[in-house]
Amino acid sequence: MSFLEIRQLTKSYAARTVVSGIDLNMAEGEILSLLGPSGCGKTTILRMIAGLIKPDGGAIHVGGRAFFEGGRELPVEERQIGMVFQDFALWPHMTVAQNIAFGLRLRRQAERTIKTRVSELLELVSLPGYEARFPNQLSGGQQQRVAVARALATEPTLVLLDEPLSSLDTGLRATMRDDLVQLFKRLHITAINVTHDQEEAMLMSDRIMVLNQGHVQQVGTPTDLYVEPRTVFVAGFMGAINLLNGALQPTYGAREQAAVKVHETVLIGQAAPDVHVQDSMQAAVFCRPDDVRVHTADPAQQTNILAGKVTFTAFSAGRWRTFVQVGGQPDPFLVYPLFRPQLDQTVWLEWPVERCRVLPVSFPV
Amino acid sequence: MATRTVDSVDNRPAVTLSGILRRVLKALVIGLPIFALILLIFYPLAAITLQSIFPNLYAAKPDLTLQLGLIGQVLSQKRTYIAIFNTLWISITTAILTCTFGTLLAVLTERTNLPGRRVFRLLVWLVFFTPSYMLGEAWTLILIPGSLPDQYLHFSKTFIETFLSPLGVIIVLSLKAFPLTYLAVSAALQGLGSEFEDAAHVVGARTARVWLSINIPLLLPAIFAGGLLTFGDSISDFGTAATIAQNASVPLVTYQIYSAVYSSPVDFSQAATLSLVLFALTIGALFLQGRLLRARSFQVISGRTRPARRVTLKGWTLPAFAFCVALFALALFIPVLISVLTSLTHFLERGLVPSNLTLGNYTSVLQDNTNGAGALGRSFVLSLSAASIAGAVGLPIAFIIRRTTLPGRRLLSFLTVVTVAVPGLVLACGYIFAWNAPFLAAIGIGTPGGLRIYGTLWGLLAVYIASGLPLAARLGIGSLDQISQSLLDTARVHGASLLQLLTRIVAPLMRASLLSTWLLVFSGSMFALATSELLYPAGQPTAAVVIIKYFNDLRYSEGMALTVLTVIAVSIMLLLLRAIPWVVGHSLRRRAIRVNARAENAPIAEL
Repeated sequence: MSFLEIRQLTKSYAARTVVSGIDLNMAEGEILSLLGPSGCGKTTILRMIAGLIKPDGGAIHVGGRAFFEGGRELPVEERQIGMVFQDFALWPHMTVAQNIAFGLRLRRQAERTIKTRVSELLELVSLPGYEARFPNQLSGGQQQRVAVARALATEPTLVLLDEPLSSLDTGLRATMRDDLVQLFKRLHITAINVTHDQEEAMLMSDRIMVLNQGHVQQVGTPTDLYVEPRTVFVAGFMGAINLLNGALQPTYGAREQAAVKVHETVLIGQAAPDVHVQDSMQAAVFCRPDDVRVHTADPAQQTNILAGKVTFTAFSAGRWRTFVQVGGQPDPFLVYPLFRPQLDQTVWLEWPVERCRVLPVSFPV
Repeated sequence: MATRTVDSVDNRPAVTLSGILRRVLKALVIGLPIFALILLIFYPLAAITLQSIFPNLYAAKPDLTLQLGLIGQVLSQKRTYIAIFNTLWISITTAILTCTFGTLLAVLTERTNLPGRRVFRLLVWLVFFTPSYMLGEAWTLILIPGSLPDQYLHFSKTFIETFLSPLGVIIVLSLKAFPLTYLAVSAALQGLGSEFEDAAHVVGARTARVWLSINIPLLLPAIFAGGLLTFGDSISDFGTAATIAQNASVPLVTYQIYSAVYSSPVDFSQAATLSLVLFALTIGALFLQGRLLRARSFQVISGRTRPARRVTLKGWTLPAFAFCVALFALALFIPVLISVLTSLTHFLERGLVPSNLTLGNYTSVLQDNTNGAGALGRSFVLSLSAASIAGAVGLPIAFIIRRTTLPGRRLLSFLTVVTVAVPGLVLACGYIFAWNAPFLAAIGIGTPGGLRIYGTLWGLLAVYIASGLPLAARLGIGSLDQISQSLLDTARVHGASLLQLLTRIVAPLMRASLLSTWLLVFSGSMFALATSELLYPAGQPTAAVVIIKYFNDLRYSEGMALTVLTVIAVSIMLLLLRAIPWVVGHSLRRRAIRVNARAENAPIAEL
């Protein structure tokens, strides 16, 4: 049995379903991110696991204990979890030491033990000697570290992170992110992290659960999600994509591949598992901007070639960020040519077969 | 500070005629409000200080004999220091009591599933607007021997002696003032999200522990601030001092000032010294309260707070509900009931029998053109004018202070801060010295045929405006700060003049706050007892003056009839002002729906 097990977790507010029938299994020591746009239900799931929101139905088991089952819930204070809040929620009227020791005092531990534990934890988060400071005397990053120390103080079986990095500025965010992952891995802590930042999710997690409008879109490792997304939503959420919609060609031979006809052009790509070759099913082909090859002359190839005109180009981070408008398409494609493109120049875009992926247009719920 | 200037545009040298005109205009814009505040508030306050050290300055033959020791002399008189001592300990006790009641009520209505919490929230405002003299009178009429309740419940002597005492005064003051603490704490609670308590729950704290260790400590500054507000309110309260405190023979500073001015021999020195003491105490409380709110070492409002979860009361529901009902019964229902019943009886001592019930008190009061309807009408017109003028002048003052760089705006701001909590009685006392000074005759003030301020309705209007103006300005600043500067800049860029900016952009954006300010000054003036008592022109009393006069003449039924009529008048204005925006908003919405419907039915080509 998994360390954490969630079955058919559901929550609605009035007529709006925020979380609909989520399933999840996690191994001990695993770090998982709940990723999705705002309003996708990720924070609601986290708060249901914490016990701050009562689910409408389903079950949550952690470490063999029932957090929620059959409408009965274990009170928050008895779940023995750690949580890091978005604004850190450090109690402003308590010192750093008092903040960290709060949970230990509730468990009536000896003052001597508490003192040792607090300095141990501050050592762990690289803030030794900060016991007597008040939260308002700390920088954002330091407050974050104290919040982490407080969450770890009671040796929780599970740590929940509610967008803990979003209040920090960009530079600090990267450092804190890496520190946090290393710390959790070293202590073999099971953690669930909520974020809307796909880069953060990819860099922090063993696995990611992508959510949209209360539904699970896909669960998998960062590589899985980036390379083999199952839906257009996941493909788009994990990074920039160029997308074409068309009719699936029923007669295409190769097993793992599928062909899509867009106007007169045929594009071939790797078929996602939900793409079943049926007559005239609508499908989408996508290719990441970095994978598109840009030619200045027609490569005289039958498939996966689209001709278009450069409509915009700008130099950024060492390369040419370029938009190419292909006839009959509503939006221009984003590509990174290896040469300096000219405005209005005609270019040929090659979508390499092995780098294209065919996805179902409508997601089977 | 985001105070970019409104007038920074014209930095060019003023050599042209229009440049000079501009400068004059600018001087007037800042000069007039300062001049008005000085005349209305500062000069009278200064007069009190002058009176207490130059006792002969305001005599018929003024001279500048300095008597610095006079303040000490007055303070060492027994009746002076007894009054100060009483006022201090009674107000401190009141502040502590209101902190308890107000906080408890705020927590119960804001953070629990208490049944009827919405109604209680509304009732707080009714208590807030109730005049303290009404509460004082009603409770006196309950506690005096032979009162309506006494006729049926037969209070024991000990019961009456227990409550017709400083204890009763404290209770009445607390019942009147707890809304101030309530409002301070509930505002803090609304800014206190659930994150801090969630964090405590997660590490294993139960609800009671969360409140004791997290929420209450975080609310302490707000609770103290509320306590200081009620302290300031209680020391300067005259309505209670003139009613139940009189009947309980508890001399308080406010009443002592009143009797120093109005009973012979007149003792201006005592009035001036006590006024100074009162003023110093109020300013002290206000200053401390401001410090407390600013110097909070922690920022509670993070802007990203989640709405807090309500505590389920379970077994505590009944006691909590009973507490709220009892509180409002004592502060509102019972006093109102007694007031209404008293106003309906011929003779109080005959009790509630059909033959003793009458509407005669109302008809006789309404037919009395000097004391009854006349007084009410006078109060009404004066309050209407005072509220409108204070609102109309307060908004530009707030604007000048916050959104211009005119020189002198800091002085203006300072003047409004210092005078915002001047007790009405102190101000009125200052008016007596300041505008009745014989030496003013030299410039034609106070002479027959000259400009007469003291002893006229104009003087009364001036003091009502003076009580409301600083409040209007400070409240205006509060709501002006919520308006983004870019909204005003945009209007300037589009070519709006200062006046257009105020009338077309600022006033509409602040209409809700302007309305509440207007209501506050209006009801404050309608119920103004202290200022009216000291300054009403002979033969032209206001409603509050007449009510207290009836009360002192033991004509309780007529007094209560007039009280009820005054309350009804204020309630009607309150309802009207609340209803107008609703009606306008409603009709606008209906029009929008009609227009939309028409647009939807119209052929697309027409769009």
